[in-house]
Amino acid sequence: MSSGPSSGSKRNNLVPDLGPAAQTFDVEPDASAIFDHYYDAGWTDGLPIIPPTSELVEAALRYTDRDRREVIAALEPRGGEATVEKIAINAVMAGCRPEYLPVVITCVEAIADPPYNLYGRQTTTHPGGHLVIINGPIRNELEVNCRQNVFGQGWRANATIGRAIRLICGNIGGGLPGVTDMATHGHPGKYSYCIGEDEENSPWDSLHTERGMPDGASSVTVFCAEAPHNINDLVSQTPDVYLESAASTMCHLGANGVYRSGVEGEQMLVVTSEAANWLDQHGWDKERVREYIYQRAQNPVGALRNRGGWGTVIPPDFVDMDDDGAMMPIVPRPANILIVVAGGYGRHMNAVLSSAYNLSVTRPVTFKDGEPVTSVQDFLRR
Amino acid sequence: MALERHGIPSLTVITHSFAEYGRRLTRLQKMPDLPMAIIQHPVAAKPEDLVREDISSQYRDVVRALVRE
Repeated sequence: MSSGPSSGSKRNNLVPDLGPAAQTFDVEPDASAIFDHYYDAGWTDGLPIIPPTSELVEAALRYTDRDRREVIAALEPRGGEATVEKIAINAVMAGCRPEYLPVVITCVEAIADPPYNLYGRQTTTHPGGHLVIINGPIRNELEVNCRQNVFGQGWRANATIGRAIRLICGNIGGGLPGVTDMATHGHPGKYSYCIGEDEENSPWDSLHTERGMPDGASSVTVFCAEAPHNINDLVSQTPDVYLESAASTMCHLGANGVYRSGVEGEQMLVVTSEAANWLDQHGWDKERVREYIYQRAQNPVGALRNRGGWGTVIPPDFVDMDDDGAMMPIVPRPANILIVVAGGYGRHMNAVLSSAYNLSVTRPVTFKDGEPVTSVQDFLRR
Repeated sequence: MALERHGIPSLTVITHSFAEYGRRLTRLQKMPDLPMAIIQHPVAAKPEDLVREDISSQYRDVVRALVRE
């Protein structure tokens, strides 16, 4: 017996407390036939899925204290009701272990938060993938990779949590490639896009403590972003020269942000712990890095005029658009540069750029009563 | 769609390559009757006078839709 990921159709402002129970149906007990069935129904990302049998879905539901029919959010553009049960079904399909469910549920809460602009992100021509960044002790408990090959293959948690969010966005949210998801090219991170932050090796406050999460809390941050763009600077001997390589990559003429600092958006720089410690030893904390990137990742108005995204949004009121020499930043203010420490040995960096029409959202992983989850095994003890 | 929900008569100008996408979204948003003016794709890099010519040919239909005739 298998459970289908059918979805509801309520709008965000009319989200009921409980949604419909998932339907079950019988399929031929053959892995290839099951994959064909799910693929033909439009329920996959094109890769094989784990059949969401009742037994597997029940195993996942042990890792939540919420009612299986509780609606976590209505996901756009369909306004589909993301019940706990449907989230669990998609998580199983993605290959998640049962204990990943609390993280996946929190991700759903986060992408539905209005500043994330899920409707826009799901329907745009821009190539945005839902990047999930996991912080806190759950990251280690679930073995989320935050070091070598962090954006790459090889870790089940990274691969399947990110994939679960993509399946949920399609099956529940109605983001269907070529139908409602009109991404001109998309990018590989739209299959799965999930990393941890290398908190243990970072000299700086982690992303989630910067955002007010208490020490010991676990959280997810979602950021709708393009594919990571590598920045190779193995030679620079001073932080300012090194970070200039990053700034240059973050403000190339084809980037959305260079034209859109008049609207709320963010851009992200990912540095390794090796680089972060080197920067820190030279007196560069996160704030200084952020301020420097903000100041250096700028283009003269004259270089932007009548190209790229020029004229498509309201320009920033702090830049004289009639002055070709006036400098245009990539975000409205330094705080909108996100700094994340992740990756393995070496000094490569990554620019993770966004459309600039959306903000990242950080949510704590909690029990239903709001108590922070420090171990997913606590769901079994309660 | 947001403008229409706020009571402002609205019409979407959309290229034919995105027409089905537009129809699908308006259905999903429970606004299947929201009018669209469909022009030829592509528009980007098309000379402005040709874009004006294309949309001008739909002028009467646009006005009719906005005044809900």
